[in-house]
Amino acid sequence: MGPSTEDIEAKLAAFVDGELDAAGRDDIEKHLLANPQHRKLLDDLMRGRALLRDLPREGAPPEILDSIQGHLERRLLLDEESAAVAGRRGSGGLRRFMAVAAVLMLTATLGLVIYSVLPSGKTGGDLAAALERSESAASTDAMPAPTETRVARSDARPSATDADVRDRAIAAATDAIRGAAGGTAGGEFARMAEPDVAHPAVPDAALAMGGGAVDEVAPVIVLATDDRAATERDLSAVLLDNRVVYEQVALPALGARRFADAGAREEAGESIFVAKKITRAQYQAIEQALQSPARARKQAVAQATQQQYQAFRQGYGVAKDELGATDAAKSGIGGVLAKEDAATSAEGQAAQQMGAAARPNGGKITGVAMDSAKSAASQPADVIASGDKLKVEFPGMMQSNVGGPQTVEVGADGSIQIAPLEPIAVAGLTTDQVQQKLAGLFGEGKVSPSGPIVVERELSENEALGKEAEPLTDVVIVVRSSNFEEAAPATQPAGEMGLPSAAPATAPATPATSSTAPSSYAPSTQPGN
Amino acid sequence: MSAARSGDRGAFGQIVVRYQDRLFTAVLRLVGDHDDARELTQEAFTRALMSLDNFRGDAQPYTWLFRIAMNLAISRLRKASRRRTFSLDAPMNGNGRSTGADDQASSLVDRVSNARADAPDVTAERREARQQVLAALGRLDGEYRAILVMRDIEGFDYQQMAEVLDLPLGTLKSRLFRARLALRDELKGYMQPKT
Repeated sequence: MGPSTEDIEAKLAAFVDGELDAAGRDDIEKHLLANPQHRKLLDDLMRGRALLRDLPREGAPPEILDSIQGHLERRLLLDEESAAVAGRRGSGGLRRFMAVAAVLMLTATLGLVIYSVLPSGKTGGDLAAALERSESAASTDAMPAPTETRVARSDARPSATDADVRDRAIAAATDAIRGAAGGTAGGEFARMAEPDVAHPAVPDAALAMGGGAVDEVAPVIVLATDDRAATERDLSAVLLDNRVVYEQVALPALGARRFADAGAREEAGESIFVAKKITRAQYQAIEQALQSPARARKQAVAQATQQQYQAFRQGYGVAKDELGATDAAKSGIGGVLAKEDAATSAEGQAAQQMGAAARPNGGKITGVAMDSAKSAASQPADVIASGDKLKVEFPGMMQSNVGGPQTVEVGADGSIQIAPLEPIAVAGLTTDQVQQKLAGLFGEGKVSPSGPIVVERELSENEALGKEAEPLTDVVIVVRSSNFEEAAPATQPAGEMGLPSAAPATAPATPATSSTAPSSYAPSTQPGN
Repeated sequence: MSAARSGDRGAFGQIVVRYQDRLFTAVLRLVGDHDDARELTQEAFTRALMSLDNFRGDAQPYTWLFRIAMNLAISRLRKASRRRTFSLDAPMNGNGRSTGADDQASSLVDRVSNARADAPDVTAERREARQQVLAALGRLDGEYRAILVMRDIEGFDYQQMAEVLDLPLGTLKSRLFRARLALRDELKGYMQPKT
């Protein structure tokens, strides 16, 4: 058995290096005599070897020695220090371990909150459809239907610095969304918002960056798009669909606030907010407000009761005496309202010209948001009972005759007193029935109003918040985009906006802790009170 | 080295002064980039300092240092090769590797050879030869490059190389032969007699 290829190659290498023994050299020389073409090859190898050996030695950069000297000095100092603190080394190590553990835990929990994900395929054109679906759902006393843009919370605990883990979290969240898609329409979000002991709680400290902790099980909405305009549209639609209040929607007073590090994250293409999931009634109110002509909305605010006014003022950040301005930009109305005002100014003027007849309730738009909230909450609320307050107006009638508009309270006997009329029994009737009853009374007399009599029932604050008294649950919103050229509009700190602390005692497991500021939206009475 | 091991930090400083040029040059030939070579040489000395206690007296100090540096360099080369993208238009040699403009080869030529272009004792022909061999070296696989650097530039003997590379002697020599063949292939255009 002859030598292997490796043996031959090894012998040739040694021949080139001149380190082959005499017997080996003789073998190769014999071969080269018989195969002169191979001599050229070995000559080339020797020449290459010579060329390599001719390469010059380079001088090391001075930074190398400087760096090593620095290491040596630090090491010397550390040695001295470590000798001085040798007795404390054990406890120090424990502290370091605890500190590292705390940082890791914080990272993991932040990752849990932030990097749940859902890709949004929704476009702005779907907003109207989303609203329609929500309206339809409300009419059947169901929550707004979820859209294909999902709300989810990942079960994974990704790290903010690990793209692979983050991708897995995204996949997990997507799967969760798909899994929930077959559930009850509109129920997905609610389920996500419910406390779930199976999931690790998010420590308050991890989310206290915005000045207050969010709910321990705060769901996360993540919108990932590459277009800012599309993102804003999608965000509005998604939040409306899921009844989440966000500054871009309408009512920052309900709780949208930003994490303190949002600015830094915006540079990385992410904006993080903490918002509030609201009640169905509130959602309907916002929806109604958004769909109303801006001018009508101003009138609604201008004619609202004090409590309603307070709510709107907080919601829109506008003073009552500013509402008469024709230029919304001058009025101080912020965000969406200002934009919508500009967009719908023509519509608003048309509505104004059409007057009361243009409104579905046949008259004024007093508390339009509250009325819509009432109708959405439950129809039985329209039935008048003792203690209710009715707003009545007799168009064209002299103040001395009836006066108006005026607010009258339904007495314990179920009647209202409108001077100079006799007490009128209204308990058990609807506002329409009361309206007909009043029209009949005047029809019998010599003096009649020039237009339809307006009868409206004022909602209690609790009703405005919604009969179901669902807690306002914190929601973390992450808007992620790589192509945002400008930062998202800033949100005022919660405390400065007088945000409500609307956390009914009926849901202590999901307290809204974003603010302790008093608000007219904070229910003074709970359902059943 | 024994003084350094016994805690004499100044002794380690002397080791750095003594071997830094040689080690830096070897690493530079391996990685082909001046900045990478400086960084890796620093890292090698630092790791050596941290692991002085692991140094066995049966090896030469430079061999020990070189082994640390070479492992760092090869790791860097592997990462670089994973990142490298090859042009579909670039001509391929017999080994399936691109013979077009290679980043590392270009870097070798630009950073090393050009840096010495002004040396008065270097003739134009010699300078051309160095540029050619540096470019050819830069185009070789990392393993072949390491073997050639150790043997033909650093002058390690077979036994030292076998220890550093953890290879049997026969295998080591065989690979050395193949590495030289590969270098010859890369230098074929330069070595062919000009007509």
